[in-house]
Amino acid sequence: MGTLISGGLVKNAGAVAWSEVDTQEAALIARCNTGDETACADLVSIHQRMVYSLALHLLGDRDEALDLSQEVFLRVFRTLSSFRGQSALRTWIYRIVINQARNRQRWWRRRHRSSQVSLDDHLQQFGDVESKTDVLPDRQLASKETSARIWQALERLPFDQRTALILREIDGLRYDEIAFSLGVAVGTVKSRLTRARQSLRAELLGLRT
Amino acid sequence: MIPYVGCEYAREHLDGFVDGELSVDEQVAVESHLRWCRTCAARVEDLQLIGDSIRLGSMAPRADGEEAQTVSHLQSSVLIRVRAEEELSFGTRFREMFTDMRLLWPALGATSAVTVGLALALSVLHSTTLERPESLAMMLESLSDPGGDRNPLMPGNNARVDRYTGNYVDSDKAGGISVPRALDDGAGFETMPEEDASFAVAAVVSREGRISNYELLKHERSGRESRGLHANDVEMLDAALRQSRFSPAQTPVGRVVAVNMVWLIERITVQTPDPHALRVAPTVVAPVRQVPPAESLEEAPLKRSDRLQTLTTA
Repeated sequence: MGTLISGGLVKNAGAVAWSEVDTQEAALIARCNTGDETACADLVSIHQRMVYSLALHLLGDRDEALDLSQEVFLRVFRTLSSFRGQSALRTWIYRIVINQARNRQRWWRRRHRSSQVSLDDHLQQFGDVESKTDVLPDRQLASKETSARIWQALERLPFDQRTALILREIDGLRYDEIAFSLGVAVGTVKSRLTRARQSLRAELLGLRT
Repeated sequence: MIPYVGCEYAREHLDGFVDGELSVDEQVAVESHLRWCRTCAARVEDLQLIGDSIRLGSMAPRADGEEAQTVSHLQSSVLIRVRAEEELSFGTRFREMFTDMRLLWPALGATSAVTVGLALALSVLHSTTLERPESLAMMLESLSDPGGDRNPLMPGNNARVDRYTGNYVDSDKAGGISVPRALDDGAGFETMPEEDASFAVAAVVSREGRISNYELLKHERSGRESRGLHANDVEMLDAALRQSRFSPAQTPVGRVVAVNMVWLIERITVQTPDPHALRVAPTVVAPVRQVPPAESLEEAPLKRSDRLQTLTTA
């Protein structure tokens, strides 16, 4: 593969402080900045599943998630020259995903509200749990319905609370990584997680009664 | 020794405990609390159940599913879009403009022709606007230049003649505009017929001291007002007015301005010794200030002579 980006879209990053980036990742970024199309393909290949997954959980629509993922990678290649290794590349890409998703949030809420699925449809779609978790059978039976209710409650949460909880529970990010991705302090992340869990626990208690 | 912590402390740290974000001391303290506090332990179970439920209902694409193929296409579509953006970028298109130099000179020629054409059109529009006297632009320009040839002023009535120098001076330096004075004392009218005549002319004396616009108000010959002027008289009058030169009017601060003026030209015949032969020039428009001729009437020689008298009034 030849040179994809010749100094236009991806500029030379110059000297960067790669404090959070390992050597292999730094080399990949440097190759991308020189316009190596193979490196760009590798970067997309490494992160595409993660980006699509987060976009899907934030937007709730597969086509929108796919479109958002393309926008995210275009944005990544346009701004990769400004990446200074202040975080892991994955966290930096998370931040772009969240910002792009936040821009679409209002429009998404309108559209998603009209396409909300019923609880039975959700159970039918996500009912197959054997391959996802290793929880006990008794708990699985309880979790099918519980999971659907929790997700319905999760989608009603404010965008920032929902994003923080998804980054923590699904993507397994640490508090400081979530803080960087959201552009807030670690204390703010803690408070958002606590509020989000309180709301979901209230839904859980309502389910038991 | 394991420190004792209450429920209030434990509840503040339950989220961090579940997420594994506590320090070792905090972790040990919360764990010890959970051993005997069933309420807080139930909270921890709820938090863990919430996390499990979220992961259970996750919509993440499975590695072997149809969605995995869709995601794998993401790489190729992204690279295609990146390549397309690069091809459509301004820098690339600009470079492509100069790949075929045969098109460069026609393009430059066409651009130059369009530029010249636009400049010509704008200059014609600009000059046409200035030349049309009824246009708003001309009206504004005239109003913005009081004392110009297109916007003449009225000379002040308080102008007087210095007794010693014979020049016009302003009696009130804070006010009036001086009256223009004929430099040749009407020498152009010497070709008038050998008979008495008088003309009243309304004219504009420009900044250059020329008659730029005039209108014959009244004419009289040999004491009788004629109904029409002879063609020779018209030519003579027109030529005389064209040749006339004035010292232009000035404001008290010395600025030269154009003024409106009524000019009374009278040719009279004086016969001596009978002083009653002198005629007094009729005043056409009041008030009239008599401009002293180059030679005083009292100093007229005691013989028949022609005397041209000019009076101006504003």
